[in-house]
Amino acid sequence: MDLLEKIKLREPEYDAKYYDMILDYTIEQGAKMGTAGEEEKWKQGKYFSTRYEMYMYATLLGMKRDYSLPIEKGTDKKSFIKIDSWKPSEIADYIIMCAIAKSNLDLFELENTEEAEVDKKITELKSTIESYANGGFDIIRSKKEEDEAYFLENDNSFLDLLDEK
Amino acid sequence: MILQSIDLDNFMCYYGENRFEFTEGINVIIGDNGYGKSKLYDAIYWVMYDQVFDTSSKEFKPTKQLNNTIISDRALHEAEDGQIQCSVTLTFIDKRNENTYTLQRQLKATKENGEINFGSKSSRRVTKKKAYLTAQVVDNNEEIERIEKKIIPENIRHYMWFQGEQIEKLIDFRDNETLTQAINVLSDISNFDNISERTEALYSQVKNELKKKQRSLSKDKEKSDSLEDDRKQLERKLAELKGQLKEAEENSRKAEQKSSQLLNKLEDAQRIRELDDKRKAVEKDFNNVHQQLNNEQLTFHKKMFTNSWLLKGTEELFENFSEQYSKYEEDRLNKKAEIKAKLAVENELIKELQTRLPVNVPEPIYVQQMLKEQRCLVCNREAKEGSDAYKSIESLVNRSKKEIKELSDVEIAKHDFSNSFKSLYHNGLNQEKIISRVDEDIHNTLIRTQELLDRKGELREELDEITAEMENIVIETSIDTDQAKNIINDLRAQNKYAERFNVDIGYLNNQIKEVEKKLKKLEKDYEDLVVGDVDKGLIKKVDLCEELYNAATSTRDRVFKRLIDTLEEEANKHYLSMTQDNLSVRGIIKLREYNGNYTPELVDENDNQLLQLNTGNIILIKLATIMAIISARKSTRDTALYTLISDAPMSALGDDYTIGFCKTVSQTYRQSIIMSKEFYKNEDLRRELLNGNNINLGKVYMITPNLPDSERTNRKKLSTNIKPLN
Repeated sequence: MDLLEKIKLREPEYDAKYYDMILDYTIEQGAKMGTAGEEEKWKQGKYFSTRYEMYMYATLLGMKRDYSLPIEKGTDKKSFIKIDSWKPSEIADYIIMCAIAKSNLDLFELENTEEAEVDKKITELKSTIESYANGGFDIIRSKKEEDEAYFLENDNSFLDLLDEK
Repeated sequence: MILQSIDLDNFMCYYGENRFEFTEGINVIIGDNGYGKSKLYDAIYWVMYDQVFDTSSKEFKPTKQLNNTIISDRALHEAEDGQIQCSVTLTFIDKRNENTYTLQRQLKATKENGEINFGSKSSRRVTKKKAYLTAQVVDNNEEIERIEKKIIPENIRHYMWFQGEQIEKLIDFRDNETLTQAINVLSDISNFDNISERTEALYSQVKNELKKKQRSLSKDKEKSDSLEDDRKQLERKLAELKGQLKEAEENSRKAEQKSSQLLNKLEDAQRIRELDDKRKAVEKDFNNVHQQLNNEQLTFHKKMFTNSWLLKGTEELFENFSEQYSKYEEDRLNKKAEIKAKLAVENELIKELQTRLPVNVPEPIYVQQMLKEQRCLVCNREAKEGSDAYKSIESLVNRSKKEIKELSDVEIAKHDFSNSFKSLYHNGLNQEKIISRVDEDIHNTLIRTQELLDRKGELREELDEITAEMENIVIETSIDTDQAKNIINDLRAQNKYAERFNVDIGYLNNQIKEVEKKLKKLEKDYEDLVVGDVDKGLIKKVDLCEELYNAATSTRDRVFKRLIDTLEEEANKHYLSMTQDNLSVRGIIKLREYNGNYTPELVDENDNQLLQLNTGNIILIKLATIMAIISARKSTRDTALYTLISDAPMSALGDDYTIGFCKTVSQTYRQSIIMSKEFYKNEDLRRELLNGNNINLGKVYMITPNLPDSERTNRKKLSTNIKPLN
């Protein structure tokens, strides 16, 4: 199987403590609430249509700020859909590319390792994504705590946050 | 007397203690709709007459019916349990002797456990202070009446103290009463009417006496009686016809009056219709922009992903990956080169073997035999194990298995992830191009959103302005959008009625003439029957009474005409002064007689009526006439003795007319107090008022409501700011 396909079969996890925060900015999807339209999303003051959108955002935010915060062992974690289902797939692929860049993998060496070792490396890549996502969530959390109105009163808050150093 | 000051304490929107001071000249209180101008007018009126104007029923109502609207809501709301007091004090000064008069009206309410009980009556206290002496309370009713008369005499009150919306009714010269009232202010025309009526009765009485005498001297008494019966019958018919004529004239007058009112409203109605059409168009644009803005906002967050906005600033990560990928490619190439070199050596050997002997020559079993015997059976030479000859024979064993290999036959690494890495790299390249345009894309989106927001704001403002203008016209004219649509139909109907009544009038006049002719002939026949002489003294008496009656009627008509002329002349003087700065066609005011009544209209120099007047012109003619009613009474010096107080008289006037009005008023009246919204937003106009050379300016105030934004749904926090502008 192709490496990319293998990576995309993985389901990155996040610290369960961010579940409520993610819901604050995301429309509940699926059987629980039904699928909310874009208009509803706007009216509800939500920024993301799906939880994976916010996850992608948090990962890239963490990567941009180079803020990796590995989830501690024993932490209660939540999983969600595999990367293969993330849309747009171009952004999902870009995140994988960034994770590879961040992990300083020797690509040629990877090709020459045993199957089990490859799987291990894929798990490490997933962890890399999770660590940066965790870092990103931590940035959002601290921003929210520091200024409660930041995300409430500015429609462009998540865009502005990308520009902050 | 002039009004020196007004003190308002918890009166309506004037929470707490408030004071306006006035001087001679035109004093102006500037404020937008709802800011408290009319309440100031109400305050004056309340002190004087214990009444205020009820805006919902459009009439003055006594305090007891309006208790809960008189005391400031804020005062009621903020007061602790106990008594709450509201008062207005007017201070007048008589410039001739420097005597000061104060009139104070009070209203009290009590608050108990939050419940408010209003006192049933307001009370008034009048004081008089002679120069250099202490003020004395005046409790003698006759003296109070005298003071009130000094402030404003009843017969001129309506022309000195009026609200903008009363102007139309004050000067409606098609209505007999308004004309008589106006003329009576100028001179007591009813005296002449009384004389006229008395002489008519006297004339009728002696005429009957003569008839009686004539009948007694008739040569044919029977015929005389018959003629007398006919005469009575004809006179009854004449009276009946005259009654019908009066009714037809009254109907015609009413139709004309209604038609004239509608004509006045026509322009407003057209304006309302235009505004309504404009409002609909702007509303459509507004909804369109609102929808676009909604779409823009709805897709805004989606663009974070669809337009890769969230990748901005990650270019470095792509560069890092590029380096990794580049190294990977290099490693792969090196590995390929290495394998290629190895293959080249191996292949060379195979080729060499293949050129020595063809494959399977000698056959493998013979080669095995040769190795076993350690001898070459071809050349029969010894080939000891381990010797070169032995090795050479041995190399022939696997020769058939060895084939020339291509690079593609060889695996470079254990796995081939090249497609994955290539795909990631190409995706990165594409995204890099998009990222380079993200800032511009976001900028353009934000600009577009801002443009839409601005446009929405502009349209909202335009919509508000149109709505406000429509509301103003509706308030000022009492025409709503639906009525505006019906006005043309109503106008047509009223014109038709007037036309029909005029036909009736012509017909009745002819009938009357015929009956009068018959009567005359009958009178002649009657006289012809008389034999002998009728008492000459009696005939002389009849003639004298007729002359007296004619003289009384013509005098009354002449006096009336002279008063009308004076009024017209004075009105034109004011009209000319007020319109001096406006460049449009001015015309001349003419009080035109119509069925015994007079109506003001504008004519050109050839006495041709100027039609299609705008509301501003019509109001200006009426204002000029109101001013004329007072200023034409030259002998009384009313304009010097009393204060003109008017709330929003200029609401239908254009900018030039507004200044013209202020100038004329300031030059005509010793003191005037005008409430106006015209100067509120229009700063140029305000500057012109404050610096105008020809305006005899008194005090100018700007009033604004003082109300926190969060409390605009009620008046519980309302007070009024009074800012002197000069």
